[in-house]
Formats: sequence, C-alpha cells, structure tokens
Amino acid sequence: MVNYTSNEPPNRAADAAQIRKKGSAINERLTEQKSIYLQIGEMIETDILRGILLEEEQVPSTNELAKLYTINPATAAKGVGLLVDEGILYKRRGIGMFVAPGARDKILQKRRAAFAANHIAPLLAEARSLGITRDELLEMIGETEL
Amino acid sequence: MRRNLKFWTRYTWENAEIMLSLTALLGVLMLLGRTRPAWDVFAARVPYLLLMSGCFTLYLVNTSSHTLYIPLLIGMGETRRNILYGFLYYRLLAILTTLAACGLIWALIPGEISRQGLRHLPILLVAMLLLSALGSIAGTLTVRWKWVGLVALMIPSGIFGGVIGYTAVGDGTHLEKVLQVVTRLLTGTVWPLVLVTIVALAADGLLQHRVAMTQEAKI
Amino acid sequence: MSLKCEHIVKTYSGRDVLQDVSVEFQPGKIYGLIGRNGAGKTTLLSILTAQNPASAGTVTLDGEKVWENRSALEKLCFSREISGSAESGISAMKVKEYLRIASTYYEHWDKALEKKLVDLFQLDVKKKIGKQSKGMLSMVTIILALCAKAPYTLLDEPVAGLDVVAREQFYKLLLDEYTATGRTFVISTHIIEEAAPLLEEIVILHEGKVLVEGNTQEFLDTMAYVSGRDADVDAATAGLEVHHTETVGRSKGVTVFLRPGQRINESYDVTVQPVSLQQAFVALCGEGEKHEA
Repeated sequence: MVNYTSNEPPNRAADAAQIRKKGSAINERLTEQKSIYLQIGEMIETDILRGILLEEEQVPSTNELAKLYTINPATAAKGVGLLVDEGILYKRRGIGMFVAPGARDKILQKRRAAFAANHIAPLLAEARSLGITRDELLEMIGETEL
Repeated sequence: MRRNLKFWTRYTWENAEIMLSLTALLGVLMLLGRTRPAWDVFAARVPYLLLMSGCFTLYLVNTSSHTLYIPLLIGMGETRRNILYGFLYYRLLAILTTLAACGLIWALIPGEISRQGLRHLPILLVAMLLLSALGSIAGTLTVRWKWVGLVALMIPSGIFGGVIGYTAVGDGTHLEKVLQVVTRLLTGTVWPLVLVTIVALAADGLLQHRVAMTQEAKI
Repeated sequence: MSLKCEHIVKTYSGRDVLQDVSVEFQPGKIYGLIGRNGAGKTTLLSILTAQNPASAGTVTLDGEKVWENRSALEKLCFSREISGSAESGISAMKVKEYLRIASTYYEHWDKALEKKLVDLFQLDVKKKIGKQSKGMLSMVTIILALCAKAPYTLLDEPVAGLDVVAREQFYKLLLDEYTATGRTFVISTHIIEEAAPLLEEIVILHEGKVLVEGNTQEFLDTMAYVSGRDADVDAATAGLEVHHTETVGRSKGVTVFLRPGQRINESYDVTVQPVSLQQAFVALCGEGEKHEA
C-alpha cells in the first residue's frame, strides 16, 4: 500500500502540512518566467534531491498538485509525465505515482550535466558585462566557501 | 416537459394566491357596503368576484410572463416551443380551475343567480380565453415595443379597475348592474364572440411564436 | 463528441458582432474565452447555448443541432451574468426564487452543493436580486453554474464582481468540480493573469473573429518577448511577426509570434523571455498600443 514517512495515517492534509514544515520545494511559489509544467517537474525533483520525497514513496496525485497550485490538472500531469519519461517517477496502476529507485542519482547526474549551461554560462556573461577577468572570477570562487 | 409543467403549475398557484386575495378584498368591500346582501345572495355572487379578479390577474400576469419569465426560462435551457406550451398550459389551468370553482359554488347554492351563472359557464369560458389571448398579445408586444404594450395594458386595466371600484363602492346592486350589462353583451353576441376569440387565439399564437424565436435571454 | 459552432454570424442593427466564428469545445477540458469588451464573448456563449438566435451558422452538440433541442440543451448550462438593473423584472425576484427555478429546470441539480455554497459565500438568499451587490450576483451565477451539473458549463465573467479571496475560492471550487466530474467548462474572463493556469485551452475572440484557438501552453510556446539594443532586436526578429513594440532610448522590446518553423535568431545579443497569457493577449489585441517597426 501507500508508503508514508510519518507514523500518521495516510492523511493527505496532515502530510502536506508536514511537508510545509520541512520547507519543501513543492511549496515554492510558481513564477511566470517558466512554463508551469516544467516548474512542477523541477519542484518534485528538488524534493527528491533534498530527501523530502524518498525513493519508492508516493508523490502527490495530479489532482492534489492541481489544487495546491490552482492549476489545470492537465498541466500538473504534463509535469509529472516529464519525470516519468525520464525514469524519475513510475506509475503503479490504480495507486498513483512513485519515486523510482535510483531517481536521486538520475536527477543529480542531470542537474550536474546542465550545471555549466544553467549556472556557469550566465555567471560568465555577467562577469563579461562587468569586466571581471577570468583570474578575478576564479579568485572570487576560491575565496567563497561551498 | 415534466420539469417545465412543474414550473408552470407552481406559477399558476402563485398567481392564484394573488387572485384569491383580490377576491377576498372585493368580498370584504361588498360586505362593508350600505346594504349588506343576504348570505346566500352574497355567496352566489362570489364567483363573479372570482371571475373579475381572475380576468384581471390573467391579463396583467401575461405581460410579466413575456418580458420576464420567457427570457429567464430560455436562460435555464428550456426550448422556446416548450416555454410557449407551458405558458398555454398555465392559462388553461388558471381558466379551467377558476370556472370549476365558480361552477361548484353555483351548484351548491340554490337560487336564480346560481342558475343563471351555471347557464353562462360556456360563454364565460370563451370570454376568459379571449381576455387571456388579448393579454398575451399585449405582453408579446411589450417585448418588442415597450410603449405599445404599456398602452395596450393601461386601457383594459383602467376598465377593470373602474369596474372593480364601481362594484366596491356600491351595495351589491352596482355589481348587479355591471353583470347585467356584461351578460347582455356576452349572450347577445355569442357567435361573433366565439369567432373573435378564435381569431385572437390564433393571432396570439403566431405572434408569440414569432417573437419567442428571436427573443434573447437577457436577465 | 463536442460542442461545436460553425460559421456563426450575429448581426445587431447592421453591425456584425460575430463574423464567421467556428469553434469546437472538446469534452473534459477547461476552456478560457478571452477578448476585449465588445469582442462578442457573451454573444458567442449565448448562441452556443441557444439562448440567443444566430443570424447565420449552426451549433451542434455531439452532432445534433442545439437550437430548440431539449435533449441537447439539457447537457448545457450557460450561467448568465445577472444585471439586476431596476428595469429588468428579475430585480424584484429573490435569489432563493431564482435558484428554485434553476433547480426545477436542471435535471441534475445538486441541492446539497447549493446549500454548501450559499453558506460559504454567506449569501442572503431572501434578499431581492436588485438589492444584491455585484459580487453577490457573481456568486449567484457561480452557484447556478456549479449546481446545475451540466456536462458543458459556460460561465460569463464569473469573477467580475468578486474580491480576491472570493476569486480564489471560486478557482478552488472550479477545480474541485472539475477533478471530481471531469465536465467541460468554458469561462470568459478579464482577469486573465489569475485564470490562465487553470485554462487548458484558450479561445481569443477579437473584433468578432476567432484570433487564437488551441492549447494554452502550445500557444504560449509560439510567443516570446525579445529585448535588447534596438538594432540587435531588429536583427534577431527579422522576418517574424512582431507585436507590441516598446522602445526606450536605444533599448527595445518586442513580442513576437512564431509561425511553425520560425525561430528567433539568438546569435544576436538579445534577451528572450517567455510571455504570460495576459502579455500575449495584450500584444495581440491591444490595437491602440501597436507600433509597427
């Protein structure tokens, strides 16, 4: 049956409240700068990365996500579908969506692969605009704690 | 259609309440008159009060039906055809129950007034049908041209009001006089009246159909 | 299986309010009908539900004509905006009465939901329609639409008079109904920003014609906001359909509409941002603000 981390009965509202306390990505606000379905996918991924959603654990249903963000269920389904295609989530017939084994590693690899394009490239562009040299930038990074 | 008839049946009873209170008012006014009529005479005259208020409500209500209820019901997803059938059903139900009530009272109370009343039931039916058709025509015209409808409403309303007032201030003999005039008018012109009624009903039906098919559901 | 109108024309005293409008509404989706004031939204919704006759064209539900067809009309509910103006006879009617008539005519009327919503909105149903505020009348419209439980439910400006809290309530209620029953909703609204995430499909009506019809996300994917130095922006968007140009000094921003196969030339130093439905709508329909490049 459904696997919940807490000892409480599978009460969705209580579960949602608990997630909120932990400061989950699913409870982040949507922004306008990106398609909603992509954001839904990313928020679930972030929760998996942070260990808020564990492998083999059920993720909120499309309808629950839709009501949480007041979005069309089809949009939520598209976001979830994206993760299913990538093998991060899988469907258990008649029950719902679950986090696939090895999902966390997959997300890590994916985000690492995209790190340069998503984060280094804008950083370099900004550095160029400000006239910061490569050496200066490396020095700044060296001084910053990770 | 079942839901449609349910609405119009309830509508008939709601209007019957108006009609009955009007009848009660007339009855009280008559009893308060200078020479109070004997109870059996009064009782035999009650159907006439009923008929008067019946005609009055029927005529007046027809306007609000066209301008308010027909667009409202179109908005509730009923077909225009069914709404017109429903409206016709309401009119027949109102007329027939009124006449049935009159007939019952006259049948229970002996006397000359009652006998005359019973004899006049068929012509009273024709007269009520005519009035309802005329009222409906006035109501339909109001949908298109507000002022035409208003004028068409004001004239008969004035006559009704006048008759009712005249009856009320008198002592019962006034009512008698009005009834005599009306009766003579009705019984003297049976066939022309029937003919006019048929024409009026047909005209009403055609006009209503034309207007209803282009009516918009603004509320 | 759909609600469909074909080549609808509606003329009011010589003016074409709708000009050859053809739209199809598939079952099980939430549609947004957006357009400026006077674009013909209310007229289209009225014609779709046979509440107004069309001057030309046909409306069908699952292939059957809707006009004067009770079995088709039973599957439709268009909850009109109630004007409540003193001259309309309905202003003297109590809300209770209005809902009772609706419950008589709608076969699947949900009495329990009616009670729940009246309580939720704290509506005084004994008060006459003419005495209700605009917000209260919006709530009556919403109650009728939700309780009628018609497979195709059309709403005209349901949130027009509502404050932000009540609007949120409405969106949640709409989702509850939609997820529970999967029926079709068509909603016209001016508050695009709020409603956009709920709308799987959109129809944009502009000056009596259908300007856009399709999946909201797919439509938005065809639009983008390009900004930067004017020469760069011009070069990056050369040959594209440009709307809503804004210039400040040497800086320029344009909204572009990409036809299939077209793309923005990103080799120039420009910023490309997605646009929201509201921004896309303003770009396409904000005629007065249109500056040709």
